[in-house]
Amino acid sequence: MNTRRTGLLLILPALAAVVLLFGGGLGYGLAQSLGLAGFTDTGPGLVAYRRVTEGPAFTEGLLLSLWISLVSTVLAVVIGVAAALALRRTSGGRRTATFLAQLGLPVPHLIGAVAVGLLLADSGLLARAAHAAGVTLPALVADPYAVAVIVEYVWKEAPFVLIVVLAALGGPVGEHERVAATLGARPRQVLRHVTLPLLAPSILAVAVLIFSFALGAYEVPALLGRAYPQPLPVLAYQRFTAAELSGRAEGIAVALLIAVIAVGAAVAYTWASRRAAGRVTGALR
Amino acid sequence: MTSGVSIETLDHTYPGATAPTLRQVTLDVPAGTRTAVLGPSGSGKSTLLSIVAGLTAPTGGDVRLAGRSVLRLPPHRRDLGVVFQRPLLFPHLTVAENIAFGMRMRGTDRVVVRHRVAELLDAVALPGFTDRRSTELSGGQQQRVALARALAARPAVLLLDEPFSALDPQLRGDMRTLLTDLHRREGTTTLFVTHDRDEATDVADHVAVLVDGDLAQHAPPAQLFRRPASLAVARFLGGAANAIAGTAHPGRFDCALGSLRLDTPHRGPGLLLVRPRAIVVADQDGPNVVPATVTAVTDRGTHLDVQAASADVILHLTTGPATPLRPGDEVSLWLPPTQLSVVGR
Repeated sequence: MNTRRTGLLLILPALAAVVLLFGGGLGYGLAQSLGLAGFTDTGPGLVAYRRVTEGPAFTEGLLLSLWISLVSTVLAVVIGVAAALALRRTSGGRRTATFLAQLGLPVPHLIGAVAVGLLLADSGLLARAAHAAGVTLPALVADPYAVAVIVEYVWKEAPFVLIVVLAALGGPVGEHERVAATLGARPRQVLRHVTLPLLAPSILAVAVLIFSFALGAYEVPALLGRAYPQPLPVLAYQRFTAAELSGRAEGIAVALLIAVIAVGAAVAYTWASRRAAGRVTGALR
Repeated sequence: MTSGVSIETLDHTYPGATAPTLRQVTLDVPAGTRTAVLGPSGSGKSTLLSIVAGLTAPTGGDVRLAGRSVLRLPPHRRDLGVVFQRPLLFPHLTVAENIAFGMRMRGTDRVVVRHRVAELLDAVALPGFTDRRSTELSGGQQQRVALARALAARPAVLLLDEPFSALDPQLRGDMRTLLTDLHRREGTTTLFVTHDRDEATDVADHVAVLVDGDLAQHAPPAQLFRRPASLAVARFLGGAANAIAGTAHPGRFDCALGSLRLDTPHRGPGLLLVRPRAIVVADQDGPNVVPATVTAVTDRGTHLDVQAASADVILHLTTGPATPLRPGDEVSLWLPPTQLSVVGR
């Protein structure tokens, strides 16, 4: 009891900062979106929420956001895990991969988006090269499937997955794989019945991170996406900076709805990892 | 079907290492027998096991299972069961799923698998643990499950790499008994690596002593203690407390203590070895009895550690607590011929 109270006291400063900054910001945002604070021309209530969700712009933006986040996450995870599994056997490959991956990590998404734009746009390098070869490429930037946005996210996040999975593979996974092989498991069976189940907690954690980030990030779809439909973060910013006074509340309302989805994903993750708690602790011990 | 293991002139040098880890190691483990590979840490015993398991490729020599070379086969095609120092149970599987793993990978019929799992859980004294997660078990229980898992698919050979060294002493004794019982049931050819000489002699019918990458001796436990092949083996087995220089002739050994009778194949200069416990305080004169003066006595409670000087040679002996010896006592010490051995210098 006593140690518990001491522990609580010790984390109190950090907890206070988180609650004040995070909770304070969210609370003030919530108040503004409900017309309880800030500049507003409507009375208190759910007016802002009703306004932003009533048109097709919100539904289509939501679908587009989910599409971008899901596809980016799946591709980044598949590519990152496959690369980690392929590279870990050779120490040279492993070092080079880690170095290259770390090289890309500090590059801001904004720069990445510009680079991808220069490469994939209608007037970009790829289109020019293709044209010189006599091929006409479909639009990759500002296209209906947000290809350029997804390419940028995958380019940035797959190395992140690679580093996380390489680190996880450095643990007892290799020993378990050896045991499986001595028990008669073929390499494919080892991958399916041992390696992937043991990596699952790490993969799940990094997937949730990427999904939540892609869902809430603004700059890449703003640069590489279409004018309509806009993914939710772009919609939120666009409403927030709109000329009319009610836009502010509406922008915050959209932002809070994004937060609700991200929190939902985090809750689902916690539930899934709790369910596998025995496996997780066992694998990470 | 269980099968024999033949290790033939095995050499191994790790990349970048200057000295070889294994040198011309030849070892034959007949089908159904148990051999312990005993050696100090760094002697190359784990490397030997890793090569047999297919986890390390040797730089030279051959490994045969049932007469067939397996060096080119990956581990999963060698038909083995391996138990490592740590249990390494699959944390995402239950106890039963862990034991069933090898059979599942081979596509064994479900009913057969269930039957075999229940049988082995009984054999390792863990009935009712079927659906437990490995993380809920104690270290000893986990290692028992690892043993059952290694034996489940009835492998041709069981390899154990210091399987009990992480457990506490009491538990270790129980595990040795369990392993002996399991061997009686399953009859699997067993190669057991350990640095603990009591464990080796308890568990195995033959002991191979590995010193600095050389196979120094391969013999039944009793012979190993009574007739060590070299000073290094005797030292590792704790039998070099009395090493007396002299010359071996047919039927006798001439040294500072006189001409002692014994039976040794050794000829020429050598060291006479006699264990402290083998020396008897005699009450009459005769062959192999030497006069000595007690110089030091340490009471260990259960026994006395005694030092006695005889013709400038200090002899170490152990007597029962009922033999009251004091420094200065004149005694006659009998060195029984069957307990004497000679090794090269």
